Amino acid sequence: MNEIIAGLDLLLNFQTLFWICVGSILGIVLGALPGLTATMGLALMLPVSFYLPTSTGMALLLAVYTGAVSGASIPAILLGIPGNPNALATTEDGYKMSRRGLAGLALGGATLASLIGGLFSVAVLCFFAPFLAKATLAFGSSEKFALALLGLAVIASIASGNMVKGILMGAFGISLSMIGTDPFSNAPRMPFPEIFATTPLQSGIKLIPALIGLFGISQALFDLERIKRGTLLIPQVTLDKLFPSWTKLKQMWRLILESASIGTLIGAIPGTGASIAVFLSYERAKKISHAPSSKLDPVGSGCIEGVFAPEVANNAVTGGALIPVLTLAIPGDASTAVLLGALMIKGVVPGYELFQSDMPLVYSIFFGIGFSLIAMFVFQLIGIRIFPHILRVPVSFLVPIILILSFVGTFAIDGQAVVTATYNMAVALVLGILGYFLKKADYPISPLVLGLILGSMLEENFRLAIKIGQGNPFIFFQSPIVLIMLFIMLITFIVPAMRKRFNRTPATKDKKRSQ
Amino acid sequence: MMFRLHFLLPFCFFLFSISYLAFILSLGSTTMIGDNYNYDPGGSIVPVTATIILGLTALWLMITHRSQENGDKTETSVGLILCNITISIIFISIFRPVGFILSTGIVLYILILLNLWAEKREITKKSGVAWLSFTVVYLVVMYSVLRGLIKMSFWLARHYGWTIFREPAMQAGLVALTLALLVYLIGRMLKRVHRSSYIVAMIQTSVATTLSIYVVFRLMFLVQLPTGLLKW
Repeated sequence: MNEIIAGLDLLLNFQTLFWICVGSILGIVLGALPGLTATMGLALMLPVSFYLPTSTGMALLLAVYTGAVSGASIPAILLGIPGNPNALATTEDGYKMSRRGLAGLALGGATLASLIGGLFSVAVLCFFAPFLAKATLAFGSSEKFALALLGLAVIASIASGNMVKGILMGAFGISLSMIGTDPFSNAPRMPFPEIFATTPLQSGIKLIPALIGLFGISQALFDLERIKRGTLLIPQVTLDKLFPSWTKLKQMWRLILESASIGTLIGAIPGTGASIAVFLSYERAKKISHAPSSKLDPVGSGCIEGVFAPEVANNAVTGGALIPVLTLAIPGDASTAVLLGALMIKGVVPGYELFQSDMPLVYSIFFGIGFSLIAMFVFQLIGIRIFPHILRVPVSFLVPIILILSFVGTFAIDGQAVVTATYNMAVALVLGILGYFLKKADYPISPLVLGLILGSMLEENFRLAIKIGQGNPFIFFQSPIVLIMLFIMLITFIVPAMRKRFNRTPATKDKKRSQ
Repeated sequence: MMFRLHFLLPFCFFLFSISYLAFILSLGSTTMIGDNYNYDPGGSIVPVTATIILGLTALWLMITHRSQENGDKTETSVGLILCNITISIIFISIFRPVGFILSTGIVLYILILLNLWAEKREITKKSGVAWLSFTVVYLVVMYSVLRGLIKMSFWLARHYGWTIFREPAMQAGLVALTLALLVYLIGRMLKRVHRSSYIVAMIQTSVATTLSIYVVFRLMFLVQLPTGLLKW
């Protein structure tokens, strides 16, 4: 009980509540603007969170995250353009409602659905995370090595779409993380060490500049291609009815419960991401609403049910995705990879040690998501007439602001050490340019980021495990936990490959033959 | 371009993996301090393994690059992107000598101007340069006013004992309010002087964004942003 109160105490101060409000508004704006992503917002806010106390910084980032996830429904409903791919299912019914003059109901319903889904997943997070964290007590060096490898394998094979590209990016990320110094002997690991050992390169590629470059600068350069498309026509939003009636909500109880459960469960599985949860919940909602005995309007016809189901699932992913982050240090997607990076930059190591030694911080994270969701709900409702106008902001103004914020934010991390700060800006730019080309060629960035984050954990635990095993490399096969993880890894590689093989239609095969 | 990129990227990764492998092998392997029994496999095993996987996957993607073409027809504004990258490099180079305020304001203005030109907005080069000069003067004057306000806060705290005026949050709040008011008033004046809303928006965005970042990082978080040419 004391720890819960201590956790609340970390949040209930003016500074934290102020930054939650700022983060929420910023997140909604970022989510609403097509082309800007939650991950970019998180990366840009990293330098700000760096200067705040850990609990406040995490609350800020969580507010941006939850705001952006929910804000993506605004353009989906008003324009038929999802703010991010996870709002694609919302577009189906939301846009139809908007064209019938029910934009207010769709927007209000989406906001309420976001709140419900998010709070459900937070409740699950609060209940399950401590148990899972306790399970990691059994993890030694071998298990931690296998866990890092599993996280990389899952992200590389499932999240990326193309397994070979995912593996390449993961290996590249690990290679980059090795630059700097050997963690055990402190020997330099860089080209021309006699020259570079006294430069900032000795500390390797820092995480914040890398994240800002890969997610912020690269996205800004990518968005330059949208400049010629002009501004959008925003429909009028009427406020006569914002929420579905209580009777309708009661009728949707099963739809809401199933969507929240799907979102939370999918979010808790590393590498799956919100888009799978949204797709599954939408299909499930269709089945429920089309059943003969159902009192619900058929999903797909432009009804509130079709907005509620995907939005509940979309936001239920946020709490679920934090379960593997806080307990196993494995992110579920790019956004949670940034959140994991933010924790590690602050010296917070996810896992049982965190739950054992700093439970108030853990509770502050749980409450932080709750407060963020409430802030998102309040601001999105207050701004229901204002936020749509954000869609008018020209890309030609937004992109330079994002670029400048990225560079200055990167500089600010090491502002006292000017040479290091300038080096960080250069790293961010180089990785930003690389990230741009990777996006163009459809290479996933999440495995690269994860390789950067987990590379040192991978190497340290591998070497420690071999040393504990007295030089025996088969030590890894002596642990049942490691064997289970290796088996799961194998499944993550085999299943997508087999699915691809079985999904090849005869027409596709014939087309390949004729080529 | 997409076709070449699907080949070029893995090719670059392949070259990187070869050079990285050569570099790691040239360093030799180091072991843990105090590892008397040589159980530690050494500091090169993980990098070597990662780079071999990198090389092999890059080679595979180079061989199969033709099948990756998916008909993506995203328009690539090569010129605009190259300009943005070049200006970013210049920004990093001048950030310290010129200072945060001037370099950020000028670069923001130029980047927005380039984007407006890419959108084919009617802004001549002459007017672009003229309004850039105005923006620089506007920025310096605003910065001076806000610096004066901060110095006055310290003076009030020293002479009257109103210690609250020394607090970073208080100073940031005062400066932010003053900034918002001045930007609003000057914006109204500018709209009467020049009918092009894009030019007014460009000037206001450059100045307001620069000074807002100053408020957040310098005043709230006490980050030492370089003063450069503006020594006061």
